[in-house]
Amino acid sequence: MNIENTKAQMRKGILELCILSILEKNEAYPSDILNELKASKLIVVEGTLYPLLTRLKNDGLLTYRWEESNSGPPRKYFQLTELGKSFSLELDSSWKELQNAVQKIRSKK
Amino acid sequence: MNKTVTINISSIIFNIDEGAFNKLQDYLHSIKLKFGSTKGGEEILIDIESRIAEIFHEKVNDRKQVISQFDVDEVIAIMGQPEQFEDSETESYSSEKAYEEEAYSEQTKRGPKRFFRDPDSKVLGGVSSGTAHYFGVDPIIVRLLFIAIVFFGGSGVIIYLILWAITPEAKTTSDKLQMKGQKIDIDSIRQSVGEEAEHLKKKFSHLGEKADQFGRDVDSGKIKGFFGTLFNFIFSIVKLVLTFIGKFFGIILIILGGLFLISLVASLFGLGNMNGMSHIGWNYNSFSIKEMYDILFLTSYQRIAITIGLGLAAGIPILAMLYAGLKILFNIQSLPRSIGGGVTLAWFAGIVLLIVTGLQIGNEFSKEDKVISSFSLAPTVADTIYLSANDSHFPIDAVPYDDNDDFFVLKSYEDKLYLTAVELDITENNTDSITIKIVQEAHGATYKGAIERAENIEYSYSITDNSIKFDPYFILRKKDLFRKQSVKIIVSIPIGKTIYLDKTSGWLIYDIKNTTSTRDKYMLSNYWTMTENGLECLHLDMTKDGIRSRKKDRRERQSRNPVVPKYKIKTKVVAPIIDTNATAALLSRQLTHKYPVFPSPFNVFG
Repeated sequence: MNIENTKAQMRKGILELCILSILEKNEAYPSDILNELKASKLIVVEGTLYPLLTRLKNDGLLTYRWEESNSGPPRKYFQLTELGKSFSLELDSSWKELQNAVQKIRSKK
Repeated sequence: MNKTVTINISSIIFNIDEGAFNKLQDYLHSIKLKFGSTKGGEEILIDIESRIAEIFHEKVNDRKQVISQFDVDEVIAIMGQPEQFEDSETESYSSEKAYEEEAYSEQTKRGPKRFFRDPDSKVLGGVSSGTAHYFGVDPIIVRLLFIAIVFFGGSGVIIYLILWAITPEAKTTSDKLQMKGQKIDIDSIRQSVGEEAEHLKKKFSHLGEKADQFGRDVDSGKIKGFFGTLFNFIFSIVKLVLTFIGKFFGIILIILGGLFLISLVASLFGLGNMNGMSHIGWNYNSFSIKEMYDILFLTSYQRIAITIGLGLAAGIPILAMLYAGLKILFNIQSLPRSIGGGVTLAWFAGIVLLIVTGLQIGNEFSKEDKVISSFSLAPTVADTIYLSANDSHFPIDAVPYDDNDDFFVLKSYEDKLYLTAVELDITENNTDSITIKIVQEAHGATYKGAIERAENIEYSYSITDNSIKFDPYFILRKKDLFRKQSVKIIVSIPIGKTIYLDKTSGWLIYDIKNTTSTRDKYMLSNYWTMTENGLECLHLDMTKDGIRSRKKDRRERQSRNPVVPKYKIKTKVVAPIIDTNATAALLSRQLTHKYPVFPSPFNVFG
């Protein structure tokens, strides 16, 4: 059993929730999202984010618009769709359920 | 000293070490290997490249202009190796992955966007909002369109109901996602066009490589593989073109189907009139389909049977057309087989109904009979008589002057019908007087009925001195129905007598035989004398109308046959039939008409 692998698995599950939560506050472009995720040590390599964003967008949870940037290439600003918002709410409630579940199991120790 | 390479990432130009370049290329290639085949792989790659460009952009400044191997290492560390990417979807849970792939391939099979009814924002059945989702427009526009086409014979209602019946409702989340699909904007279009172009480019370069190899492979028997690739390539292009043509065809089917449906509904329920049919002989404006039904059908049963029969026999193919068009465009589900069978049966029933009723009505035309009345003018009447048509009593003044004899005009007025099925012929008479024979014809289921109808035809003409005015029409009672009634006039004239055909007589004359084979319309405004050879134009009308008529005839003959036939010059005028005194008398009478005598009009121009 590789401890790193297990940690990664745990992060994976909540990564989507975190991205949706970040975007719930404000629209953002990948580097913004990365900064927040990195600050909370939720992400190890940046490459993880891009497939995830593309998939969420293709599933209709996100849309984006282009914005020109003074420094560097044009940026894709992502925002939640209506579907994304309801999806985020559902994930949120299931996250709370998980939290309760973990706490319950631990408190029985 | 290091060699540098100029590269372009996300439209930004960087100078990069050759070693660093190779490393970067390997890295991007490894990402491509991982995502290239998955859905949105191109996009992931573009996004990652864009991020790399951003990081590089922060690295370079006036003093540091070249991206080094160290910078690339740093970028790779930040971005991570593809196997480090933590994405639950691309992780190697074999069962989950298989499931994903299955779902993905199913989705590509069904296309990215499907036509669903939207239960969340429906007014009636959610058809409008579903359509709106499909085309990415506001539902209110679609609803207004539906309401607008309701006014075209109610076809909007029918189209709506059909769509309601054949379109599935979006029930699950995935249905709803498919219903909404990707938003159609410049970005998504550019993206999909770009992907397609890239795809084609790859195919072409692949083909180029293959072509290179082809030269080397000729001997080694690998040609088959090359042709296989070539075939695949051509096949995929053909498929693309066919898909495009298919969609185009679908649109045309829908437009045509809609138009046909509108006209069918309009004609079945008698909303329209026969405006469009004026070219096939029915008169302008005033004649509706309802009126045509009135004069054609004996019983109301026949009328209902024809309406239902037409509705089924013509309506079902039209609906099938609309359905096929919608199926091509919107990828809607097929109807169950039982419905198809029922519809086909209904169509056959419609055809049978039409045939049976058609035979019944045809029977009404099966017997023909005629009533003949004749009138002789006194032999003492002048040698030249003038024929013209009298149209002054026509009830509605919209009678067009048309010298096209093939069609007749029908007009309905109060309880009467006015028909211009009047034909006039000129023949030779063995007696010495001019005879007018009127033949009234009609059809019916029995001879008795036919003859009654023929007797009921009201036809009149008037004779004053040496001019005869024929009505260009006859009158029927509406309750006699239209049973192919017609009037034939035969004017028989003895040899030596002359007839002047007034230009209004174009309404009447039909295929009159003459020695110069002049067509009916060019016989007008000319003097025609009965000779022993038949009707001949022996002296010319030198008024404008006469000259114009002959010139037109000559021009038409020339265009039909560039070699103008030489007419025989006749030196003798009607001499052999009467004694010399009579000839002298004839000539003197002709002189009193003040018309110059020519042997034949046509060699004047020849």
